[in-house]
Amino acid sequence: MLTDIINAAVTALRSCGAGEVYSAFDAYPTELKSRGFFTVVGTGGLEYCTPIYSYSTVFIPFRAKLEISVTAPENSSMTSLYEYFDSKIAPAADQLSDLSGRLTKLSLKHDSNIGRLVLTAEMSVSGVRHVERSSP
Amino acid sequence: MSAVTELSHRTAEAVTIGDLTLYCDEFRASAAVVYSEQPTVSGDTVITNCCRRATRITFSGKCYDPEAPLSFLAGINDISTASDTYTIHYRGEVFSDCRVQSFSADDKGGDFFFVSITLITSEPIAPEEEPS
Repeated sequence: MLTDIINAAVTALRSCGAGEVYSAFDAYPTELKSRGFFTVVGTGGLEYCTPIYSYSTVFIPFRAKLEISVTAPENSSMTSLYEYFDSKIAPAADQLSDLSGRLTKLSLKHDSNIGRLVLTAEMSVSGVRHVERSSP
Repeated sequence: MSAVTELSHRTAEAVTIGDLTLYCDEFRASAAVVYSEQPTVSGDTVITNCCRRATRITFSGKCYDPEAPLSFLAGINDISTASDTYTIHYRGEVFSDCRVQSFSADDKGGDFFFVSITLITSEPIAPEEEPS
């Protein structure tokens, strides 16, 4: 289910012109991703709400926090990372912002695992999971 | 047991009442049936009459206009006369013969303010007809 949510976000960001966007769960090594800027969409948390029952389906509303991490190339400056985010990711995120979800936070850090600057934008999303009932 | 996960995408819908347009993110409709009850000589009760009260419909949203922050109030004056009725289309339903019952506009010190308008109608709420 988490992969469904992340894949929906990856597809939506790509279709809004966000460039190279990957899922955090695709097991694609960082070295094989773009040598320039690339974006990884992961999750920072998921919360389910009380289910709603109908005859054949159980609806489970949920809220999730997505972490959109824009990774800079090695030896890149903070300025160019911000500029990439402003020109590629922020417009795509704006198109996806509505009453159900929007960008909520922005933070910058150096990821020592991959030795690169990463700008992480937190995006809250909400939705409903439809589960077929086996017997009402 | 199959399952489908869908992300929600909701935007505030435009509600047009006369010349006023409000982008609405909250909606409430309520009505009641009033019964008249009388005691009988044997100490029981009997319902003698009933009437369905008119439906109250409330549209709430936020207004942001940096040029004229309280422009909503000017528009609401024009539509609040008791004799005017309006037909409103909202999310696939048609609300006919609506009159403005009350409104509120709250400025809480931010860039926008919260507006709410309540209308009253005795007509039933009907689904919008599909274009043939």
